[in-house]
Amino acid sequence: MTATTQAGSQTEPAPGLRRRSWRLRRIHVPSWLVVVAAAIPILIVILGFLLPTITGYSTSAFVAQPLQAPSWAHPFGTDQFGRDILVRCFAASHIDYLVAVVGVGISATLGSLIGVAVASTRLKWIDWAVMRIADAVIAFPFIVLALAFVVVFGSDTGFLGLPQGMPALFAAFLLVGWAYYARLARSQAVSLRSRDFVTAARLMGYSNARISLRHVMPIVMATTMAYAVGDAIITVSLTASLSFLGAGIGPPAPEWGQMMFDGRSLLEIAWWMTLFPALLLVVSGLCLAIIADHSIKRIEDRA
Amino acid sequence: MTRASRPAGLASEVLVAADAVSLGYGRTIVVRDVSLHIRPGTATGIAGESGSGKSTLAKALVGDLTPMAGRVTVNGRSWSDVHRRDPERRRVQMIFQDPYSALNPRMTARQAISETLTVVCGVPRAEAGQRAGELLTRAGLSGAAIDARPHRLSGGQRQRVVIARAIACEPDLLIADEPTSSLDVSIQAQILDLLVDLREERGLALVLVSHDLAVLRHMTDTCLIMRDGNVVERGPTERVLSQPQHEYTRTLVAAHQGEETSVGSHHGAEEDT
Amino acid sequence: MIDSHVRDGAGPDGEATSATVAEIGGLAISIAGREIVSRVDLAIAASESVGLVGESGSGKSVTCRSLIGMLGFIGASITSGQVRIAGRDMTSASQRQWRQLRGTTVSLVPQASLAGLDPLIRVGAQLSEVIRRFDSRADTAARSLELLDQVQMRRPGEVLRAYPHELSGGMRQRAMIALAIAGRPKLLIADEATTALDATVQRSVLQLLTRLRAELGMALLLVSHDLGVVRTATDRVAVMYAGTVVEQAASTRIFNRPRHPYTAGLTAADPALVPPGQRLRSLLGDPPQPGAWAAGCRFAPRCGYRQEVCDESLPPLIVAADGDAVACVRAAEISL
Repeated sequence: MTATTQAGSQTEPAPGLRRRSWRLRRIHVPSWLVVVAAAIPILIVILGFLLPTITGYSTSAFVAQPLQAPSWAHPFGTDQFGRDILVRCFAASHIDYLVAVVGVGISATLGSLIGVAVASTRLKWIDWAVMRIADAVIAFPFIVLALAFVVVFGSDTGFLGLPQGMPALFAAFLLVGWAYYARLARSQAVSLRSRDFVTAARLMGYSNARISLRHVMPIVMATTMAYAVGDAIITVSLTASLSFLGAGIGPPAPEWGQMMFDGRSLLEIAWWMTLFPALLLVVSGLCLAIIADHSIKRIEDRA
Repeated sequence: MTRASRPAGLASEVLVAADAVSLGYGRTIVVRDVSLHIRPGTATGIAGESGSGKSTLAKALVGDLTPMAGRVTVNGRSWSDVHRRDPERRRVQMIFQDPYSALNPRMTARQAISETLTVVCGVPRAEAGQRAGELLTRAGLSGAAIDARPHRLSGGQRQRVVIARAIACEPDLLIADEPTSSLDVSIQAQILDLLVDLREERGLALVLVSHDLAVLRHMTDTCLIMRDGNVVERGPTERVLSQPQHEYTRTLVAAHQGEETSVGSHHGAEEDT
Repeated sequence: MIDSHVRDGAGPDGEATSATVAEIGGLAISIAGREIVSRVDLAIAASESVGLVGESGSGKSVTCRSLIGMLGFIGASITSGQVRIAGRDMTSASQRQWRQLRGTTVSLVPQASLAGLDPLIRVGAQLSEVIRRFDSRADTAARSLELLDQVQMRRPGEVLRAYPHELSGGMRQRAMIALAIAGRPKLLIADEATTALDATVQRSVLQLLTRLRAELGMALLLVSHDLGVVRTATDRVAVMYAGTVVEQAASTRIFNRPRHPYTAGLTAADPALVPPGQRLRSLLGDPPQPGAWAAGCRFAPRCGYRQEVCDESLPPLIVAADGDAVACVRAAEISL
C-alpha cells in the first residue's frame, strides 16, 4: 500500500532554521544488540535456577570457608558466612526481577485503567480529585514511604511463602507506582479522545466503556509499556537500595542490594562480595534500558 | 443530472433542524442564532472561511455539541433527549477532514467496519467480517487495503474507510466536514464522485461544510454562507454563487474566481482574518 | 537529456543568457539512494511568472529546494543535470556560495505556518536582521516600514512590535514576503505560499505577489497543488508528475487545451474548472510514490490512452514550435 499522500502537507522549516550541526545524533542500536539485551536477563534467570544444581551449592547453606577470594571452586568467592556468591548472585535475580515485573506490571495496568477512566468521566471533579491525589503521591519521598510500610508490615512477615519483606515492598510500589501511570495514561487518553475516531465512535453510539477499554486503552498501553520497561530498571534499583538500607528483602533470601549491604564494611578485604552483585545489577539495568529504548522507537515509528 | 433528490412527497419531513441555535465554548460564542432545516435527500452546503463557525455548526447538527441557546432536533426529538445507544443516532453520521485522525490506528479497515456492524447495526459477528469487506469494496477499497492498518493507506483510501463506516448502518443524513480538504485534487474528485454515487444509490441527504466554493457548487443544491458565526446569505447554490446579494458573499465568490475585486486599491485589501 | 529551453533568449544548446534568471536542465535528485526527481527541465526568465503544479509524490517541492540550495537539509542530493541561477552554475555549489545568492538573487516564501518565522523574536527584529544582512549600514527602521508598506501591511508600526503568533495567517504571510524581498531578489519562489490561507486572504496575497513582480521586476515561481491559484497568477505553467515535468504551456492555454493526459485528468477532476452540472471525471488510483514508479511512462498505469509503446521508456519532454512542451509519446495522436 502506498504511504500517506496529502496535498500541501509538506511543511518545511524556514531557510536556515535547521542547520545540520544542530541535529542530535541518535545513537543507532543495532538490532542484534537488542536481541542480546533481551536474552541476557533471561539467561541470568535460567542460571539462577540451574547453578545450585550444577555446582551443588545452595543459596543459603554454608558451603565453604568464609571470605574466600574468587577461585575455580567459587568463581565469585564466598561471603562472610561461607555461602557461594555466584549461586546467590544469579538466584537473587529471581527476587529482583519478580518485584520489578509484578510491581510494575500491576502498577502500570491499574494506573492506566484509572487514568483512562478518569479521562472519560463526565464528572470533572473526579478527574481533578484523582489527579491531585496522584500528584501528592508522586511528591512524597518514596523511600520514606517504603520504610514506613516496612515498619507497619514488619520486615519479618513472610507471606505466601514469599521472602520476608516482600509484601511490604509490593505494597509500597503499588501504592506509589499507580500514580505515575495514571497521569501518563490520563494525558494520553485526553489527547486521544480529541481525535476524530473517538468522536466517530461516540456518534455511532459506542458506550464510554467500549471506547475506553477497546479503543483508547490499547493505544495507551502500547506507549505505557515502553515507559514501564524503564520503570522496571528503577524498581530493581530501588529494591536493591531499600535492601541495602535494611528495609527491603530480609535474609537469608539472596538479593543484590542486601548482598552489597553485607559486603560494605568488608570492602577492603572482600571486594568480591560487593562487586559481583553490583555488576549484575548494572548489567540488568543496561539490558532493560536497551529494550526500553528499542520499544519506544518501535512505538514512535508506528505513530 | 448529478444530484439525487427524493420525490417531492417526502419533502415535508425534516431530518435535522436547528432552531435559533447559538453555540460556543466557555464564554466564547462561535455561532449566533442560526436556524436551518435539512430535508431527506437534499444536499446542503455550509460555506465560510476559518472562524466562521461552520464546523461548530456541523458538530451541533450531528448532536455532538449542546447548544448554548436554541435546540437542534433530529426527527422532531431534541438531541439532548437522544441517548448514546438510541437507534436514532444511526440516522445521522459524520465524515471528517483528517482521515488519519478519524481512524483507530490499531485496527484494520475490516475490523473497524465489523465493529460498527456488530455493535450498532446488530449484525451477527460471523457475518460482520464479510459484510465489512463488501462495504469497503463498495467504497472503492481494493483487496489488500481492506485488511491494512491506516498507516499503510493513502489519504484517499483512509477517507474511503471513513465513508464506509459512516454508511454502514444506513443513515439518512451524512454530514461531511471538509471531507476533501486534505486530499490531492485527483483524489478529491474520486471521493466526491463516490459521495454522489452513494447519495443516488441510497437517497442520502448531505450536509457539506467547505471553504471551497467550487466543491459546494458541484455537490449541493442549497447553501448557507457563514461569517463570524452568522448566516449572511442562503439560497439555491447556483443562485447564491452566481448572483450573490450580500457583500461578503460577493467578496468570497470573487476571491475564488480570481477576478478583480471592487476593493482592489493599495491599502484597501480586505481585513485579513 | 537536456532539451532546448522554452524561453526566448535561451540558446538552443541551453546556454543561459542574462534574461534567464534560473534554469534547471535534466535535473535528477535522490534522497538516501532513492530517486525522487528524475528529469526536470525548467527555465524562468526575468520578470516572468511560472507556475509549478503537481500532487504529492511529484517532486515539486524538492525541485524548488534545488533552486535555493536547500537540498542538503532534507538529505537530498543532485545526481545528474544542472542548476543555474543568473547564469551561474550552482549544481555543486557550497552553502557559502549559496548564501551569497539567497535573499539577493533568489528567495523563498514557504507555506504559511508559524514555523516560518522565529516565534520568540518580534517581527521588527527579524526584519531588521535581514535588512542589515544585505546592507549593514541601512536605516533599518525606515527600510522596515518601507517593506511593510510594499506588502500592504496595515498598521505597520504595531506589526513591527508584535510577535508572530499575534498576527493573523495572512499578516504572517505578508511578513514572510517582506523578509523575502528585503534583498530585492531577482527570483521569488512561493512554495505553497497561499495554501493554508482563506480564499479572500489568498487572493490578496496573490495580488500582492503580482504587484511586487511589476514593481521590483522580479520573477516568480509559484508552486501549488491548486490549479485555480496557478492559472490566474502565472504566465506559464509546468505540470509535474512522479518526478518529471510532463507538460509546459502558457497558463491561458494549458487547462483549456491540455496536451498530456494527466493535465487533462487534473482539469477534468477539479471542480473549479468543471462547469457546474457536469460530472467530475476522476482519475483512478493514487499518484505513485518514489520507488513505485513504472519503468516507462509513469502515468501509464492510470492513463486511458496507454499503449505498449508507452511502457518502453520514460517519454522525453518535446518542445513544440509555439514553445509548449509535452512528455507523451502519443501526444500527436490523441485528442483530449
